Amino acid sequence: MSDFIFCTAQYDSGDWDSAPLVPANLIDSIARYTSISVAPTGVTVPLGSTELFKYPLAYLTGHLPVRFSELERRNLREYCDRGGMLFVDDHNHDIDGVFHKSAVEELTRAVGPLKELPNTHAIYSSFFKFEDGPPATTHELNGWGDNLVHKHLLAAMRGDRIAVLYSSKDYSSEWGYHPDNKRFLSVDNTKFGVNIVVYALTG
Amino acid sequence: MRSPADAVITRSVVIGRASRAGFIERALRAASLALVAFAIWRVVGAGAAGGTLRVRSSSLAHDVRSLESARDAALHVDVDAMPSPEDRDALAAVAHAGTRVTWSAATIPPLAAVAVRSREPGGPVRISVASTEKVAVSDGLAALDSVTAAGAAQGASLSVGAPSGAVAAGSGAARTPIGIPAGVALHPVLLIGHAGWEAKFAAAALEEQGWNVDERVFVAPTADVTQGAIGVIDTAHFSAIVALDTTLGAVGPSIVRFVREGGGLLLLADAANAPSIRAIAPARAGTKKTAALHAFDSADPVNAMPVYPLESPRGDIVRLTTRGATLTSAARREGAGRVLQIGFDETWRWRMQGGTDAAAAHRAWWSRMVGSIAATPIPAVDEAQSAEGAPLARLIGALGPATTVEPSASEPRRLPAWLFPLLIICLLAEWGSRRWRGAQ
Repeated sequence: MSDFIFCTAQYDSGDWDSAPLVPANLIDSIARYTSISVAPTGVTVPLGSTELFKYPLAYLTGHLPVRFSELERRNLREYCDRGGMLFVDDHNHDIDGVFHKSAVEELTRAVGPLKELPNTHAIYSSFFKFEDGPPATTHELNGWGDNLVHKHLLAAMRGDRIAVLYSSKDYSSEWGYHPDNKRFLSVDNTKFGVNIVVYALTG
Repeated sequence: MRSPADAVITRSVVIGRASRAGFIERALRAASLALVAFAIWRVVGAGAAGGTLRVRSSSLAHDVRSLESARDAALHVDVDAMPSPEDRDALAAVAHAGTRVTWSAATIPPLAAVAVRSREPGGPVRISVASTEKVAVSDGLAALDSVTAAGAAQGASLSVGAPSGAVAAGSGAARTPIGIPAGVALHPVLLIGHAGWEAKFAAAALEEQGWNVDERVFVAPTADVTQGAIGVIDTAHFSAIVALDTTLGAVGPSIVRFVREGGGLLLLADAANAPSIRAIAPARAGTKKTAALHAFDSADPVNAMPVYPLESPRGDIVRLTTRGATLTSAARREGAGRVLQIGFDETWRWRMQGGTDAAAAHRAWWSRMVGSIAATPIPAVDEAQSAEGAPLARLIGALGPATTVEPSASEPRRLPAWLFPLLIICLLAEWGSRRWRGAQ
């Protein structure tokens, strides 16, 4: 059995490396809560590379405008068609921001329209239970960004499977801390990240 | 007023006409009797001497009645078209009744055809044919395909999705119906293993191919992810179990019982090393060997996967595939069920990293592997049709091998087509003549 390797997607435009602490934090959570065999370090793979197909779950984030090259677009479409899943998080938490507008446009061109994911979807119960859908982040609750609490995540589907999961909730900021600091939290806020990984591996 | 002399002349003319008509009537009666006698002689009498009769197989349907009533010492059949099973059986009956039956064929190629329905959703039918000539396969609607089965030892095969109506294979003048087994209902497949890409993509491949998949995926010591209502593990609920690794938990003994009752078990990677099922596994899984992963677009992508070699195999296994000297898959029977062990691991890479048709090939591979061990009711097949899969062989079986034409062969004693019309004409003419005379 091969290890699960956390993969961050690198794209030509924008700041793909804006959340460098997220991979390590999620790897820690997966190892902490599950018996999934996970590699201790993640990898960064260009979105337009065939290497991407070695990692059926990839994470993409940023603050700046996103413009995929034709190769990246084609590669992402093929990746999703074959069974890969891309988790995209808006690091701005701003639906009027440049990342959201450009990323949604690019993802729509590459894999099809993004639609609201029902809060009863299996991803909210794949490991931990989230009765109200996606957990709110402190950035939402503190009024940062667009001053909105986003009720739903967006998704592009392939059949009944999520091919692209899109979040405007800024989990990249929420989870961007050293894993050791989890001990200072009354409730681990990375639990939904575990759900995303478990869903990708079992959904 | 007529004179007495005129009356005498008229009477003599009438008597003369009556005399001629009587003569014609007698002649017609004699001809009728002669025709009837000829028909009786033709049917019964002429064969008493016991010659060799020669018939064509294409006209056996007409000749078979005269053959059965004949008293020939020998019968030779020119096979210009493959006799129907009924005609062949009639010839065999004639032979068993004491008549020496021989046959020859100049243009009938040997032909054999058989159909097997795979135990997969949709049940595609694989038709295998062997012949020295090109073989055309057709169903009730149209021609399906033609294959060249050059080298009769190997033959050729083709896959047919859903044939409609009667399926038959033809090669030259040879033609045979092909019995198609009926489809069967398949119970779900139970997939067990650790959460990982292999579990995800194995389930996806099977589901996309039409299998109903229940899953039990271990995520944490206290948490499983399940799909479907996994209750009792028996052949009434599942057709096959796929074990992806050694993580079988407490269900191992149930799996062993399931197999012995007739279920199928597919052991992938190192699953055979799980203590609870080691007793029924074909071999022990050795140390994992890596493979050239970049070769997924090669002609044999399965060999681009890492493999757990099958070591210390049991004596009753069937060796299926090898990679060099390494045994990579094997199967064996356990009770009423089957166990297939495949050492390959990370098959999901085939789907993700293979060529353009890799996803379809990965799906088909998984479905074929599970279908090969799945427990299903024995599909019904038209025994009469399936037995006709090799008509030339059946003919040889019934009548012996082909021989040359007998030199003294004669035509069959069929009644000539003109006989009965002529007989009717004679009788009608005789009857008409009498009526005409009586009317005067």
